[in-house]
Amino acid sequence: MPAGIKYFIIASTSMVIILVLYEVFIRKVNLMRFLFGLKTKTQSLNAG
Amino acid sequence: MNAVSPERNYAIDWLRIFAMFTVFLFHCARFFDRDDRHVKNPQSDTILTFVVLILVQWIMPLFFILSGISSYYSLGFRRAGAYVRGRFKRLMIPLIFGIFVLIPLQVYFERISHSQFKESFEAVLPFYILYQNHYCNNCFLSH
Repeated sequence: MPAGIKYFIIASTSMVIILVLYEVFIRKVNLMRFLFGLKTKTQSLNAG
Repeated sequence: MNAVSPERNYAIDWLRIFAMFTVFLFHCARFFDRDDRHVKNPQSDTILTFVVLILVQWIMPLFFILSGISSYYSLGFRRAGAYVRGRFKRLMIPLIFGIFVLIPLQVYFERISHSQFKESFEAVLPFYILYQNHYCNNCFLSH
């Protein structure tokens, strides 16, 4: 398989996996937000 | 965020998004360049090696410029102490977490793919942390 096609497969599948992992495991979980350097969400303020 | 902060410069946010996306494409290309490091495709590719060599010239400098711009804006409306605390929380915590949780996985797959290490991941962990210079040259901090 040509390297260009492999590159395209790696880049596109990685991007999808990264976005799904971020959405499911990081963005919504305050502990994970803290560990990955995002602003943590407070209980009272539901903004952001 | 608060009343005294200046109006947000969205051009810098877009530049940050561009930089992150580019560094992602850069690291995907690292499978195919002629450098010995990282997990490798059996054959290297001339075009992707060229892409890596072009990108590596300016991608980290771009992040340093973005970091400087952000600090300039941030210090315009934060006191130095609040700035340092904020940066510690949002940069040092992810760095420490990455060093002990994310990077060991990367090092493990690199060593396995280069046949430099044949044991399980649990076996590589203490070596990574305690004797990292023996198993890989400075992989602890250089990834």
